[in-house]
Amino acid sequence: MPIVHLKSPSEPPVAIELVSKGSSGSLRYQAKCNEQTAEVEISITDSGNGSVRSARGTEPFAGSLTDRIVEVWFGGRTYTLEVVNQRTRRTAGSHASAPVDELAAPMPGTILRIDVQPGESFEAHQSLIIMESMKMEMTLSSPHSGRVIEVKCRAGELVPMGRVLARLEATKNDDRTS
Amino acid sequence: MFNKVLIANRGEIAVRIASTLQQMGVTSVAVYSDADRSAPHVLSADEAYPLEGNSAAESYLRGEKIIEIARRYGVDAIHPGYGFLSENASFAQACRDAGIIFIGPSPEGIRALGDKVQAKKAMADAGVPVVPGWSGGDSDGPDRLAKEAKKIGYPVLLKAAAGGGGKGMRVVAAEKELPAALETCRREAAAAFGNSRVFVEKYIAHPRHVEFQIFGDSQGNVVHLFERECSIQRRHQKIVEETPSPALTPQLRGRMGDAAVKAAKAIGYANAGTVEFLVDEAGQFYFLEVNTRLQVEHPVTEMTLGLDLVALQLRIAAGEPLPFSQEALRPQGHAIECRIYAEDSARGFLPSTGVIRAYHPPCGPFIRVDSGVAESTEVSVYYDAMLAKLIVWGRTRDEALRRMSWALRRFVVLGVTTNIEFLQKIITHQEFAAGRTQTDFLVVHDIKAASDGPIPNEVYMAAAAASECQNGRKQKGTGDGRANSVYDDPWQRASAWRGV
Repeated sequence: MPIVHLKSPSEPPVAIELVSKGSSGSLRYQAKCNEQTAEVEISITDSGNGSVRSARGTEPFAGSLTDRIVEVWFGGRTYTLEVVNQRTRRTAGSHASAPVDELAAPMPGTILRIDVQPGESFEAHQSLIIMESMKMEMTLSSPHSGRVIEVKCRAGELVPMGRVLARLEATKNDDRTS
Repeated sequence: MFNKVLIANRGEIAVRIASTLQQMGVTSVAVYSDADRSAPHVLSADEAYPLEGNSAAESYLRGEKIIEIARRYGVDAIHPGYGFLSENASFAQACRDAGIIFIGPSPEGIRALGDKVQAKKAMADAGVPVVPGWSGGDSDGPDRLAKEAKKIGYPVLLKAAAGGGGKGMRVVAAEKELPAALETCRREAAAAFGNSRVFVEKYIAHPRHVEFQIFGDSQGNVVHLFERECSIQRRHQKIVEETPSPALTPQLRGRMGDAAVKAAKAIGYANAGTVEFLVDEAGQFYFLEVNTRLQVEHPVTEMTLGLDLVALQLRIAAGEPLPFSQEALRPQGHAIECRIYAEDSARGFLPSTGVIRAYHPPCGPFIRVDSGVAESTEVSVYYDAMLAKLIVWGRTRDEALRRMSWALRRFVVLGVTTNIEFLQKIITHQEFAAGRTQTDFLVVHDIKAASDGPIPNEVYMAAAAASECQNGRKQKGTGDGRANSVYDDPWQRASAWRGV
């Protein structure tokens, strides 16, 4: 089942695990927040409208994903979150060696600052690169610790979405999601 | 009545005018720029013709082209809405010359009131209270203006004679600041209005902005349709309007209404107009200007009087007399309007552009939404960033406020940043609820849109589901044989974060 890592401009990243999927008309998910088992039921239609059912009751929401920016209207407020990583839970033993990964620009924008050097090790959620787009700052980080192999951008550079900004190597045996 | 009316405008006001035309059995004609090809105002009209180009100057300000379209397609009358050509005397004249009715005052009326210096003089002559000030002439230099400013007494306000919408306005606190302020003001005025003439007047501290809707017919009758208070402004532009004003006593209302009617009669005003006043803390009122068009905030008047002001404009333009007397007008209850803008209230109200991804305006009893956008409308840099107007009615101000507060919390717009949360802050503010509204309200109370409190877990969960759901949908669209699973990892192919 998928795990979606989300980041807001004001809070540390949050991992949401969609634990099961129901069917019939709209999609239904059960979600776990940051490994906590407090589960809620989410109904969502193709157009991104839905409701969240928790112990507090059922409340409507509207969501929209553009590139990697997801906007959510909930309780009269609109939140903008970045999808920093979305993937499917891997089955055990699917990788033998430390994988090499690419850090790509989640949106078109300007590189404000590069916080790491090639060869440097980093912690999970540590700031690697800071970008600015549509007057919004965004910190790019990895949900895992690792080492920087190569930095492929310069501060001040304007980059398109999806452009590879750095190549990273995840620390072995640090795949907390498997 | 007319058979066919062209709406020389776009956005919510064009949609709103088309609705009245259709209800009256009049064919509505829209015009549109390239960017607005499939905009709601085009889809809502019976006929639509292109103007080409994108900027206002290339499209909605091209009076000669609009008149040419009107002639070619047998249009009887043109409704200019607000903004664009609505207060352009030459356009009104060109319509008249082409044998097309301009729905609004005469070119002479627009001209007389368009120059604020002239308008103020005409009002003072008619016995309407005006702000003490000096307008001077084109030949008077800055020294004379400085002398007059001193005579009026600081603080003073510099204003572009041909201005509007807050452009070319400067408060000068002391004499030594005058030269620099005057230069800036002249430059702004020249750039915005092509006329650098500036006048000076007494700066009224903490005023309220209260305006009276007036209507005149071609028989010379004039009535006022009561007031609207529009004190809540950012960058000198209104964002919240209401009627009745919490500040007016019946006596003051009566005096101001009489002054508004006197002002209109003094210049033989016909059709819809708005006489704007400043009201100071002592309850003294001063004439500000007359807007010779339908105002953005006209719906609050419609709600409390049960009238369709566009229909009234059409009847008067067609030569009919006013269908009621002043005495017959009895406003009921309280109405409030909030203007929904695509702007970032936390960043100096900068306009926000983008494609509207979700649009769900609130609905319910006594709630009206005049929208100029819909889902997938692109909000571009070319035009004003107002998306919609939310208007509510209540039996009392308190009821209207509670309804507005609910409606704002139910207004969903995704894709662009809006001022909805900022408006919530205003509407629920204690001082606003108490009716203590002045034009510097937002500054004095330091209203900020900055969201407070942590992000609820539900938001993250909803975001994850929305992201997953829309990714799944995108993949279905690619038809690559993996269509049935919404759990595929789209980023694997996008080469981002692959296999972390």
